[in-house]
Amino acid sequence: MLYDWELTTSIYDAGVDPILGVHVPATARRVLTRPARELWRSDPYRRSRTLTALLRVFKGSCAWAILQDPPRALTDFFTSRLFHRSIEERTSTVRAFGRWLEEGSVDHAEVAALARLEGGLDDVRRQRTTSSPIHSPRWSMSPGARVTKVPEGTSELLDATVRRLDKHPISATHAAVHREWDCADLTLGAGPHETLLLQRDERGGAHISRVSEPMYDLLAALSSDASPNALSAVGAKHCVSPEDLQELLRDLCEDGVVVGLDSLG
Amino acid sequence: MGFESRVRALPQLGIGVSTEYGAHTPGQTLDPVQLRAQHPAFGCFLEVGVEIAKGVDADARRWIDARRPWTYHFLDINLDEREDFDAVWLSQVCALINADDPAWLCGDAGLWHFGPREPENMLLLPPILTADAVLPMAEGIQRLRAATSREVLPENPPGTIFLGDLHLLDYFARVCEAADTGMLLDCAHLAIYQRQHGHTPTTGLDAFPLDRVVELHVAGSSVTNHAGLEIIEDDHGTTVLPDTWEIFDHVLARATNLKAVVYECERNSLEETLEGFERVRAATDAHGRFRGAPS
Repeated sequence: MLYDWELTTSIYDAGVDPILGVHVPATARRVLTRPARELWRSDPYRRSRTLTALLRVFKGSCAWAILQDPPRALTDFFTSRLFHRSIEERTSTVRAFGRWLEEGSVDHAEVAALARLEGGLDDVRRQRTTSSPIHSPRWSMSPGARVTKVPEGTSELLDATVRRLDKHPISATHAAVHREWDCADLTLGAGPHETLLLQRDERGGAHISRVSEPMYDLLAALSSDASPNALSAVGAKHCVSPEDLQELLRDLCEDGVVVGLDSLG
Repeated sequence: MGFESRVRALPQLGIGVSTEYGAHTPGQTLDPVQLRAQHPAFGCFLEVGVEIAKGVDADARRWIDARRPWTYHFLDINLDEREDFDAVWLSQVCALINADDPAWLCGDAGLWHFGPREPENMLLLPPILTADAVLPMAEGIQRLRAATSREVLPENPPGTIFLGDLHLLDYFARVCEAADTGMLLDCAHLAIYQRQHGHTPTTGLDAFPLDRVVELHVAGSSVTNHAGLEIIEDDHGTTVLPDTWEIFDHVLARATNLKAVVYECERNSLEETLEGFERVRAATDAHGRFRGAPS
């Protein structure tokens, strides 16, 4: 309600979250509607503060989203189903925003591709875990590593976009919001996709490296808590013997890409 | 050991100042070390606002490393959410506390973040002031106290919107009782609450167990208007509302276990803050407080 005036109005007038279609129980509604309605929007900068923090994570994709014709209003995120669900489910606003950028940019490949990559980079910087706490596989991806598949040229586009934004004498955010940067010669590549390994570095940043399709398949399987049998199947698909696979996993473990304690069993 | 015994073991810190990561800009804002050097009575201790992911900045580190008294003001824990006490956060907090030995922990007992502990999810909202919300908050205070072996003083948070049917002081009286804890009473935050609810500044204080108040905060506020509603912002400027002083004077005279007062003015110049510090000292002197405080 602090972020979405339409929601506030709807709860005061009808007791309904219009986005999620949820009826607010009468007791909760009484509590929520006791303050003067206008107090809920008395902080004029609440959205801007959150959006500024999100812009730091999605610098490239936001800059491209603002360039869309018509420009995408990033504050629309706060009235979106994805934002409402993230509040309801107490999940990451960053992740919700990344999905919102991706899903709402079907006709704008640059935005969707950059949002996926920037979201992945943020995952590894913050070491968000993907493993299920219930299922603990013998080998799994390190919290500081991810693989992602994005359109060909995405990593170069991100690099070029960020470098140009950072050149702005005021700030990259200013450049993005006011469309004061030149993207005329920037584009995604012509190929189908690139497969990337994203890894957290020692200083808390993240770096990107390309990986082969077979390596991507293996790391993707590890990301989804694959069983030893499933990992062996990925190895077999790419003509890798169980012994070689075991050695490869140990090497990846030494490089901090995967974590594991056991053999393939 | 009960609160009465534990509070006797706490040091008397006197008048101090607060800081948080990056608050000090050389030449522009208050340097706690300079304050202590030039006005020792106003810089008896430093209250350091800590988001554990950021740690403490170089200025706070200098203070702490000189073994000067300090308190740990948390900025990143929802005390009433059991799941917020994750092992990584707790181990980092304990490591800092064990290494640097703050006098106690304190901080706003409210919602510091919704969902995960990430900067984009950060905000500060007061707790929902209902009887049901008392026990989870009290349990969180006890949990953190047990984990850190330090007193944990909940603070009444600021807010524009307060939900729930209890008076804020009634809620915190119940929390103190249930957690058997002392409290940090922020006079400016209370003044905002009272004004917004049409109460006089000291409404409810007569029924509040003021022996639970271990620390007081005083801070400046600014008054604005939104759609005909008065909005008071807790901006830590140097304009302290008369209501805040009234609460401060009332509690100062009665808080038998008071150990510390912080004048929150970290983003102002030293010169701008002296009048407020003098006002605090005049009041504490008038009540014979902090005569033996180290400086």
